[in-house]
Amino acid sequence: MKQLRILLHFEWLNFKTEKSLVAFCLLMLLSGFYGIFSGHYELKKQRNKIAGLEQIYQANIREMGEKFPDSADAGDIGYYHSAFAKNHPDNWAALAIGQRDVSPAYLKIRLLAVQNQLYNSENTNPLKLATGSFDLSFVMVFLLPLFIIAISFNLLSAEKEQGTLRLLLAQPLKLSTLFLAKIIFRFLLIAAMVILLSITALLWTGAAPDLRALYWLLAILLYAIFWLGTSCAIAALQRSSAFNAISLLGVWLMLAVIAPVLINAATDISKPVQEGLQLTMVQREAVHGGWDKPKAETMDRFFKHYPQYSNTGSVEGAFKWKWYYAFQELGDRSVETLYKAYRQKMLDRLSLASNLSVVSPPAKLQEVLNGIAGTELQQHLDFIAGTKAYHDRLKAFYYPYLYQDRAFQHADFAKEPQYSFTAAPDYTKSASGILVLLAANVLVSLLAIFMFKTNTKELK
Amino acid sequence: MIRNITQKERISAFRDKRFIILGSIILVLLLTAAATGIINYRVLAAERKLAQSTATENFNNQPDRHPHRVAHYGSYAFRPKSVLSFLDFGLDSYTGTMVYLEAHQQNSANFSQVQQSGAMIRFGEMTIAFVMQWLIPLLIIFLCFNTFTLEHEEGTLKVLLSQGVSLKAIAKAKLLGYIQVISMIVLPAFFFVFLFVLSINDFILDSSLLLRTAVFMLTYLLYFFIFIAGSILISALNKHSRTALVTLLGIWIFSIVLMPKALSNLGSSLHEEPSKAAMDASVHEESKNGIDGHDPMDKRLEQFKQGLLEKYQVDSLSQLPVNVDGLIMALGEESSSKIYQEHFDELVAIYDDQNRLSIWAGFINPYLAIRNISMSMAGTDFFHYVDFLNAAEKYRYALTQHLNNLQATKVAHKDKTSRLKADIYASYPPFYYEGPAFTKALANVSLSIIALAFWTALVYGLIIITMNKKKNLI
Amino acid sequence: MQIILEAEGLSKTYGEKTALNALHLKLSKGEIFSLLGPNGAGKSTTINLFLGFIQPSAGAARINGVDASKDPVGVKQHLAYIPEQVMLYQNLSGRENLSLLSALAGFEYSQSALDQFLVEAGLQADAINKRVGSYSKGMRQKVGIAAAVAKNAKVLLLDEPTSGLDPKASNEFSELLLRLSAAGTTIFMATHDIFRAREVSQRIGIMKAGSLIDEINAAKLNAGELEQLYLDYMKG
Repeated sequence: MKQLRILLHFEWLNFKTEKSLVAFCLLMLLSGFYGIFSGHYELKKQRNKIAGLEQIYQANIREMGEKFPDSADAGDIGYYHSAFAKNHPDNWAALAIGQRDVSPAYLKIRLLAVQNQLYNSENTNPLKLATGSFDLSFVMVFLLPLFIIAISFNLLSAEKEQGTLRLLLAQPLKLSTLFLAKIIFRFLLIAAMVILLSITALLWTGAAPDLRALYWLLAILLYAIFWLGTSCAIAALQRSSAFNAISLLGVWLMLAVIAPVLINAATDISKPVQEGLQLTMVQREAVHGGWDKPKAETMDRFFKHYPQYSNTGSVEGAFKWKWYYAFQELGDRSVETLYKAYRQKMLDRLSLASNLSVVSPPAKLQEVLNGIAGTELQQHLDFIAGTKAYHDRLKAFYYPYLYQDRAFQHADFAKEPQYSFTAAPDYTKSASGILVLLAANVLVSLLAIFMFKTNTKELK
Repeated sequence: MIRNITQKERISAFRDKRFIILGSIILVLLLTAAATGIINYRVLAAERKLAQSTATENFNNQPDRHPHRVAHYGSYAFRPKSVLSFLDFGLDSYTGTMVYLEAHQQNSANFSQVQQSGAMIRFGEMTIAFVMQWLIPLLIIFLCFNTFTLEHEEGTLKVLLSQGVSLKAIAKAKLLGYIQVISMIVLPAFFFVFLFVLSINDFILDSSLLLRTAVFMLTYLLYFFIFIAGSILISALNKHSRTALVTLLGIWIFSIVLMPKALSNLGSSLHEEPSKAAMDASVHEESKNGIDGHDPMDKRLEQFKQGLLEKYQVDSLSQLPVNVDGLIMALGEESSSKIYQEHFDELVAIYDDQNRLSIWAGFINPYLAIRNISMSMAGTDFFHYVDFLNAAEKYRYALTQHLNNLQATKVAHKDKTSRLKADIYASYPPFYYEGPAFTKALANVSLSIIALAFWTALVYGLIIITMNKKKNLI
Repeated sequence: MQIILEAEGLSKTYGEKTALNALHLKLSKGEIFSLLGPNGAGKSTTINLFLGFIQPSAGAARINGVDASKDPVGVKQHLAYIPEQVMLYQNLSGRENLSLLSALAGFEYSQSALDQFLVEAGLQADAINKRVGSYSKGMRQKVGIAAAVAKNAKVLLLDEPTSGLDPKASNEFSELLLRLSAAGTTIFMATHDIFRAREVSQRIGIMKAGSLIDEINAAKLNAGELEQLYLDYMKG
């Protein structure tokens, strides 16, 4: 214990004088701060876009007021007026942008058939999306391991190469004590960086320091231990610094880049997703086919779902909105199974990728962090489902005007339903991801201990 | 003497078990990448081809309809996969694959691969370009990092120099040796790639395809040369293998992992794009009230109608020889499309501003230059995407105006119910898209090509200068 | 007589190759013993075995009664080791290095006490607080000696201590060894330096191909005779 304390003290003395180590720390901190800034800024852009919607919404209502000064047919309003379903990011989203930058932060919704309104995209710069977000989660998932490798690849080999190891071990000191001191020192350094960056991120972005903060730190620290353990396992081989550096970078490349890339390819090839294209095309045929079907047939089918409106006035003769919205509604209903299949396919893809990612702690950590921030595809699908339900609420609001032949008063806009969604953190997924990271830790620790036991009986 | 050193490097590389293992891993990954790329290409290309032909079939087989009904029924533009996209997916997974084309509004391109995937896709994609941009440089670093430092450490450099060879000659010989070693891995790989290119195009020789492939391969050769020469240079400037290796790996991480992300995020922070909703609202507002609010559409329509009455010397619109409804529709479409196009061009200009940083940074980071060229030659970069969007909009506009014209000439004023025979619509040509020509694609990445050439000259020049300048040889 | 350092049938083989073959050796308190032999004769293997850095294939290496293979940590309470190149932490001063080494051995000294050890080992007072990166080989060796004295080592293991030292430093070093020996430290030294070995040692062992082939009383031969004897052994 006393030796440990002495060694830690000297590790610190050595660290302070080692320019490259200090530089690595600074680089890591700088990247972290930039990650926090950049994630926060991305979120700010999304919030600006959402904030701008209110003005567009009000302008549209004003325009409706000009067009229909006193009262209007609700059918005209349903056609010319649009509302917005808003997907407000939680402050935590700034720490792990996840899929938020590829999915729209809002959907513009009209009373018409909803299925072709749910998958519209936002203006995005594909080069930026392809390059990816430089948020704090990127720093933790990609750069933290590199930082850990940079400060521990020559854990033992540096002592050997500068010749100090034999002298140290000529003292009554176990190699394992020396090893432990070096690991503890590095872990403390890493933990300090992780905690410093995380606290900065919370303060900067205003993310609530609740249970999520605990999950966040736990996941990242476990991940850090995983990489430290890997570095130790390689260091225990007692090979040269160059060998260690190459091996560790190889492991990093394998786990953080090649494995996820292969998992992704496997997902795409085994579960290609065509349902989206099918869905829109089938829905278009169904909706536009409505014009060509006998009106009575359409209305009968519609009344099956809405018996309360079956005594509404006739739709024969000149164009009537209630007939129009009836076939819009039927168009949506005709693709309900396709919609479910499409959603299920995306969920399947997600869970396949998630299951395969047990082989890649970096991919797992990314999943955990996105789960904490509520920024995975899962949460966007929740938003889409919520928007679809919102459309139902809009129908429930407008249909009585339409089918009970009531005029829509301009003042009625004040009663129009609104929809704001904020994703909840996915604790289940995060917790299971943390368990996987824990298992990876146990595995790598056992490996490191085994390597140490078998390789350090004699000094090489 | 020079030839002997070259030969020595070549022989020792191929006797190094670790190099053989790494080289084989990379070859296997290259083949995996080619296989997944081709499968991916075949699946997506077939899917979109089928979707496009279904859309065309639906359009051609629709019932008799009023032309304006058809204008709302609309059509689809599916982005065909470019043949070479299997080499480098580029932005393909991040761009919409389908645009719904209808009257009065310009829809977003939807159903991009990334929107239908979990965040795993953000780690990257398995393509030939990925292996060549990320992994082969690492192989090169591994091969060359100790080329000078080891000679230092083992004292063999002294022996070589005492034989009367200059440092410059040794460096050149090493360069040549490593080029040969890397060629032995890369050239067979390129040969296979070339076969794949031919097979995927059903062995039809197409000059644009060949030119694109040629530029693709040639620029990658330059990229590898830059890494070989750069590694040798760093090795010569360091005393210890350890420091040379750590320096080179640091450069690799910085230029391939860190910098591209940082720059692209910075670019997007500096230039903010409007939301699609805001853009659509502006288009709507400006078409209604005129660009500056002084030329309202209502007033213009009134003038237009008045002009028609005067031109044809009639009293009422129903007496006109053409259906004014169609003409008005055409007028509105023309005006709103023009305004939309202006906004869209502005949006593209903002994206170009955002991306400019990354493109110019090719002069400080060859990875950014090759990434740009590679995507462009594969037909999967931003330029190719925008070209598709413009083509889709052009088709949408032409189709809508064609239908407005049908309404103006074949349907009576105020008649909203008459239907025209379906074969009138079926005769309209379907959406057909072919990407930009090779020369345009090449011109678009000229800056990146210059950057790569600059780098090639720079690293070679630096080797020569360093070796000439080194007075104390060891 | 008290036996401080003892090798009993000490052997080390690597597969087919025998690095050390049944070494028997006993050194008493205050004795200086030198081991002569060409590179690869087994001198360093012997030292590594006493340090517990490698495990013997047979036999035992004991220091002050402690078996190095059974208690590799405990044995180091009693010994100090000076490698051919004493490599220290370059970014730390001589004093800081000494402080680390002696603290690990369980001795925490005041700054003045540390300085005292260094000065007694012959380090110039103005170098004590300078970074070791600027030290010569001789200076670093002195820090090593100071560390040995500071941990109150009963045995000093030296590996080629005089190689690379200039004649003056080498002479000073010999005197230092004699002083330590007089104070009761047992010294075991592997060396090529026949002249120095004869000058300081009581006994000299000649080693060839892993075996100790002769043990000579240093007082009985002059330097020339010793060299001739050594060369004869190497020929045969």
